[in-house]
Amino acid sequence: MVAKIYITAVGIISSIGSGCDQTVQSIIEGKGGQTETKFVDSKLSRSFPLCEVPFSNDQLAEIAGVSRDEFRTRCSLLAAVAAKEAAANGNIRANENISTAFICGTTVGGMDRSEIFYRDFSEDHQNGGDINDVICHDCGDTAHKVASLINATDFVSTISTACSSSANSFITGARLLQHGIVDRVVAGGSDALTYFTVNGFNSLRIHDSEPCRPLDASRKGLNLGEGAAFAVLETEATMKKTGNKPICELSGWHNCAEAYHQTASSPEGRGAYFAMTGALKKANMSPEDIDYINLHGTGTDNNDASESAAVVKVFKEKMPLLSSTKTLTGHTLGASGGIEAVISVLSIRENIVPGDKRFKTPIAETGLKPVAETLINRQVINIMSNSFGFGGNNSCLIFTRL
Amino acid sequence: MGVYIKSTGALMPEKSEAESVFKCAKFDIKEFIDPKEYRRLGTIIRSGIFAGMTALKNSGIQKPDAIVVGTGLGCLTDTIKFIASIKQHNEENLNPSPFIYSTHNTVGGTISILTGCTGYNSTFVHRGLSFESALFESFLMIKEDSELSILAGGIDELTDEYLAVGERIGLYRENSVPGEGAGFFVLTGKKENAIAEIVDIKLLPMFDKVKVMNSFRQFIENNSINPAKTVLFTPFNGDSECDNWKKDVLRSHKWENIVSPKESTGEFMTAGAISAVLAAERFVSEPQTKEILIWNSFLNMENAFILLRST
Repeated sequence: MVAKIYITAVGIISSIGSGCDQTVQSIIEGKGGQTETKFVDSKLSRSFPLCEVPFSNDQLAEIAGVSRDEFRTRCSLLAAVAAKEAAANGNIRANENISTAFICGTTVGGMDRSEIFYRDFSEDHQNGGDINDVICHDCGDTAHKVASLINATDFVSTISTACSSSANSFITGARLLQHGIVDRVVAGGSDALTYFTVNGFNSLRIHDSEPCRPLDASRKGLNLGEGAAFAVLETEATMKKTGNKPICELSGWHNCAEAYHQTASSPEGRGAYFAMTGALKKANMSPEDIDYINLHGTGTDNNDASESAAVVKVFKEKMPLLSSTKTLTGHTLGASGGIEAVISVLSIRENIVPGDKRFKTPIAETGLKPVAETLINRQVINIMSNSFGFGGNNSCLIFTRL
Repeated sequence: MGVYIKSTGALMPEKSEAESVFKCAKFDIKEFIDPKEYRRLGTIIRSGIFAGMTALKNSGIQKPDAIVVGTGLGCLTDTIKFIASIKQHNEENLNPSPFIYSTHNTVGGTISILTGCTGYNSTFVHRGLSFESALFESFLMIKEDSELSILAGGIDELTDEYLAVGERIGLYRENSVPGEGAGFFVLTGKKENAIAEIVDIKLLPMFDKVKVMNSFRQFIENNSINPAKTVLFTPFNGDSECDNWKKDVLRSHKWENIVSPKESTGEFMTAGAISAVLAAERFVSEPQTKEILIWNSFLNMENAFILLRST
């Protein structure tokens, strides 16, 4: 009998709040994180709304209680804040006889520092740039540092599959638990806004110069965001040791490749379709069992068209409530799977269904309408969370109220 | 239920006379991908195609059920290319190509497109455990379902920038030398026609030397490894600060047969992938080989043990 996976604690930071309470409050108020940026150093921030966390790196270090010497990158600082909240809520302590893994998803890791290093390094390889800005460049640096910080060092790794990175952390985490490799997993991800990604998405011409409108016929693109989120995953056997109570179950998951194109999704959303149906199968559920879908919903022409085509195909009998919380948080890239998973868990815990006040006109071909105002005092049982990335990776998680 | 290596595919580096690094020689991927298609792909993706598709060709399996890749620094050339272009063009009218191909899961993504593999697809980017994470997850997946065939591999590319930074921070000291390359495997749950069995894998993410020593001894005990009969693949890279304490750990057992693969590959985050290919190939070239224990470590960072047995 394969062990069921439970979420016993979460932690989160994004442009809509530091910590679970602020995040929930912002979702209830429909308050988005699109802002004039203070920290990301790109002239493009004047042209596009970006969803920046309203704290400097020094402030993040203070919130997380870490030193800047060790936590130099914004990615690691965001991760430290969110992971510490999850670990505190999950009662993760040092020197327990409970083996704990840490799996982090990220796309650009310490790029916020290494891109600064490069400016001077490129002129002078021998002496240009502060070497401390480049030694933390790699994706694994954040996981290594944060795992030590929260005493989750028995198995540590980093996944980088573009926008599905941290959703995949949950899947690998579940696998480790079911094979008994560790007792407990902290899974999620982190990504900071960088000159690199702001320019990257601009080169693809998929920023919206207005706050994004996922699923809307008039949508023009995404708003980049940043943040981090982690969840503590335990089995029933683990909870006997920790004394923790589950918030909900991670009841289904699926990861598949679309094998269509490096950046575009197939028009009919084949990858999305298989990710969703695969997760339903894993959860032993029919589409009608899903009450709410937290869509990948970036606001780009391509994603929203293909994702909604797939959603219509999967849920043709009964369309669940749905929305994209990227309308509020922006697209947090490698952190998005984790952030949206945690938002899904919080939705179950708080009896809310996130809404999108900006939405006006459905896409003609699919007609999907997201929840308008966030519903409160609304109990949902099964939430599906989608994360689709470049390289054609499609991941889907299902969370179930107990 | 065992996990087996059906085939391998690798892009091996060579040490050039001129440079004191291990670099991969030119290779051809025409048989795997239309030249028009691969023209825009960066070196690391081409290397991954070469090694991955070679492993598949050698296995006789055209479409694996899953693709899991590990890379320490990912698509470094395209990453740097894009950063450079932002600076050069002052954030205006940038070519999106290097950005698109800088995503670290591009090797896995490209192979999925070439093979039509719509199964599980993931990429680990965790320094010295990148390859071993990919191998470990694949190992667990086959334990779940012995019908699966999985393409797993490790890959990293050497760039001038990495060498320059490495020089400045003293990454490679004494006789340790930077390298690059790719090592891929087709793993299945079937013993017939397999090259070797993967018996056990242990990943150690923290750098605590005492813990590593204890884990090493535990690994030997748990798997009833007989050092007199087991070939040992060492993590030695030629830097005494990395190697000496590991030699001390090994001294507590009498190893009769020792191979140091980094003498042929140089040191890089996924050198373990090539060590594993060399180990697997040894079962074929020296059929009397019964067991190989691979200890891999990138510099003085993460450590991993892999135990292979003959089928």
